[in-house]
This record gives sequence, C-alpha cells and structure tokens, in this order.
Amino acid sequence: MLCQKCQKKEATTHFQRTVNGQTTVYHVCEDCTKELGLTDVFHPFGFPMNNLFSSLFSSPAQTPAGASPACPKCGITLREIMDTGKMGCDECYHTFYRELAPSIEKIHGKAVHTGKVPRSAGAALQRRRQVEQLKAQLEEAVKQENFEAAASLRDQIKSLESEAEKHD
Amino acid sequence: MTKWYLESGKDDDIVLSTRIRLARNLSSYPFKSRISPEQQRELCQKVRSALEGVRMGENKLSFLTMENMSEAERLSLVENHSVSPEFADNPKDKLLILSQNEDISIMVGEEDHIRIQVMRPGLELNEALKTADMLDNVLDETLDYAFSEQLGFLTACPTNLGTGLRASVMLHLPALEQAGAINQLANTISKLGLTIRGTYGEGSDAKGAEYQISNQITLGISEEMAVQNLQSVVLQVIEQEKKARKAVWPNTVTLEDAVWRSLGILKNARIMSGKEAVERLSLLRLGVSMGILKTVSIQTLNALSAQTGAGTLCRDSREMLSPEQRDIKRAALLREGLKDA
Repeated sequence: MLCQKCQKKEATTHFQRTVNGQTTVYHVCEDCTKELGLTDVFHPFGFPMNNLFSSLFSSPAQTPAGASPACPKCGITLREIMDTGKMGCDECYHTFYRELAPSIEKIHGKAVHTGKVPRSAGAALQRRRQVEQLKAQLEEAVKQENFEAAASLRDQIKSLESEAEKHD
Repeated sequence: MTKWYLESGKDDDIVLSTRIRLARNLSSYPFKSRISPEQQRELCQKVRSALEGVRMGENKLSFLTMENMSEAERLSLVENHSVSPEFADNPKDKLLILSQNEDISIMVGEEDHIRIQVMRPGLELNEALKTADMLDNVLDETLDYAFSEQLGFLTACPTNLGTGLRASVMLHLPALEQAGAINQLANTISKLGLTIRGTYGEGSDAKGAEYQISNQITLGISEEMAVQNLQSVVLQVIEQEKKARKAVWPNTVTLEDAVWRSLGILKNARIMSGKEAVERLSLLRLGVSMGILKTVSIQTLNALSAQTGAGTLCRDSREMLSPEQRDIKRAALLREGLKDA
C-alpha cells in the first residue's frame, strides 16, 4: 500500500484516530511518519493515554478560589492532584480525604478494604485488639474492686498505647 | 531456561496469557510525582536489598538498570509485556527485577514505587497470584508499605486502592470479534466490575483479535475473590467464543481456506509488516485451535509472535533496523519457523 500522504513510498505505519465516534485509518511511509511527529515508538499517537482519570475528579471550579491547600508531608496541592489524578504521597489520602471520597466512591463504591494486610498494619491491628481486650478486663477488675489487677492492666495498656504511638 | 510464554498452559489455544499485578508504595518516600532522583535511587537500593536473598531455585532474579539498556531492548520488554510503555520510555533511575524465564518482573519507579508482575501461559490465575503474594511477603518483611485499614494499600492513583491487584487474562477472540459481539461483551462484563481492552492496556487497539479482560474494582474485594470472579467470567467467555466459532464459520471450507492461505503467505513472503504478521499468526492460531492445522503448535506460534515484534527484531540483530529491514527480517524468521508446517 502506498503512503496516503506523499503517494510515493510504501506505507509502513498504520494508525487510526477516532473523533466523535468516527474512526479513520491512516497509512503513511517512514518519512511522512517522521514529518507528522509519530516516530515515538512508545507513544505512537503523540499524546499520553492515561490522563483520563483526572476527569473523574470534581471540576476545579468547585474548589474555593485562591490558594489551593497543600499536603503537609509532600507539599502537593489539591489543585495538582485534581489536574493529574495522582497523589503525592500516602498522607494525601488523609489530608484530602473529604475531597477525594466522592471520587473513590465513584470508582469503587462505598467500600472498605477487605483484602491482604501488610505486616506493619497487622501488628498495629493486633495491638489495637489487645488494648480493647485489656480495657474490657480493666473494667471488670474495677467493678470487682480488684485494684491490684486493675493497676497492672492499666500499665499494660499504657505500654501498648505508647508502643502504638511510636509506630504510627 | 524456557521463557514463560513458550511453556504450555491451561486452555492456551484461546488464553494467550495470565497476568497478576500488585501495586505497592512505601510510606517513607513521596509517590512518583514528588519523589526526588536521590530518593528514587535509595528506593531502588532498598527494594534490591529486600529481594537479593530470595530463593527462586533455577528461576533466579536479575537486577537490571533500565538506563543501561538500548532502546530496542526496552521496546522488546514492552512487546513481551514485562514492563509498561511508560516505564520503558523513562528509564532514568528505574530498576527492573526480572526472573530468568521472564515470568516475574518487578518495576521499581513505575506509577507506584513497586509493581510486582507475574505472567503465566494459559489460564493460571491462582498460580500467578500465589507467586506474586510470596514476593509481596518477602518485600513486606523489610519495607514499610503505605497502608490504611480503610483504603487498603495506598496507591498513586485511587483506581488501584485496596488490594492494588490487577488480574488480567489475554484472550484470542476472533469469532466474537467477527460477530461484532465485543461491545456487547464489554457492556456485560463492566456490570461485573471487569473491563475488556486491546493488547497493550488502556486505550490501545486490539491486534490479531487479542483482548484483555481484567478486574476494575480493587477496594472492598479480597484478592482471592477478585481472581475467582475473573476466572469464572473468562471461562464463560471461552465457551462463548467456542460457540461463536461454529456460528460464524458454519462452512468449514471458508475458514480452512483463510487458514491455509495465511500459512502459504507466511511460508513464502519476503516482506512482512508487523501488522500483517499479527493478523496472519492470529489466523494460524485459530486454525490450530479448530484442529485444521496439525503441523504447527501453539508454542511455535507464541515463539514467532514474541520474536517478530519490532523491538525484539532490533534487539536480536543488535542494531536499529529501518522498517523495511525489519519487514524483511520478520518474513525470514517466519519462513524459517514455519518451514516444517
């Protein structure tokens, strides 16, 4: 097949473009491919394909005018997150939770994580469960006026809680 | 050691490959958009040390600096689905950990700090998940993953929150495509939290009737459940494709003609474009699957597909070939590979 552009050389690049649901296929030769700026083998269409997510965020017009709030850990602004669809660090999810929640819900529904838990979170979860149990025992000990046991339980809770703070 | 895509797998006449991907980030570094080059290098070093001691038997891991690779080598990795186009395109300070048979690839510095990827031939979701899970556990022993009890593993893009798991199955669906049933299929499976797309992921076209089905939802669903859902839908799609083949080609002579013509061209052509090769090999695959072609194996077709990509051709001839040179080389490789067929 001859190049559609120069009508001289054999077409070696084939691409299609869809505009408003209408797909057109193009066949061009090596020289014309270069001329059209389509030589980048990684982005044959000359535009990034993964910017679609940002449109899922509420439009920037809905955010208050003026300075966009920034994440205290990484410094990224809410505006930047909305423009790119990408967070700056793990803390962004905490900092901007209120703004992100509707988008997260749009993608995943009203869901809470039910999958795998990493070692670090596993230990923290375990500690929290342990504290809950000890607190229940403490209540019971106080009720029975067993102050010696209550004091020991209180110490254990304190040490677990301070350990949790260190890790958090 | 035999590459993973040359091994045989379950239902591999229709299922081209299975892929499991886990997205992970560390709490101690900013995500990709905010990480400094120095931090990025530190991150690579940390992941490297975490994995250096892992025992993989014969399938040992190599630690590859992306920057040290030629463009052809990087493109070849994209063609074989070891890395994403984005990762290959920006090799600076990127680390790739690749197993001997190439079934495991861990990208450090993709959209997320760590992307664990396991590929298998045929439909082997559970096996692939098991391997990915094992590697994830090894990394978790020494690294501090970014995680929240509510949102699960914290990822750069909220679409991956939760398990960070993307399970995909690449299918060869020529009959469903011919019948115009792909759009309808896409509608149906999107209601099940799955998505269908072309060969190289988001936004890409289907080449040679190859379609990828993967889970879309990652939050509120466990890894095992997500894989189970995908598996059951894929099995149904395979059945549909088999039924469609009988409906689309009731007269076997038409199909036989198309298959044998393709073989004739592949065995004789002197110039073969990448596009034509993919289409002709797709017809041969259909021919093998339908019992028309008995002298060619699915593994031979997989090998030829892998060897004839533009990047792989350049890598193997150690020079940047022009499109014309590539087409000649590709035709020669195909003639040689199919000479006994």
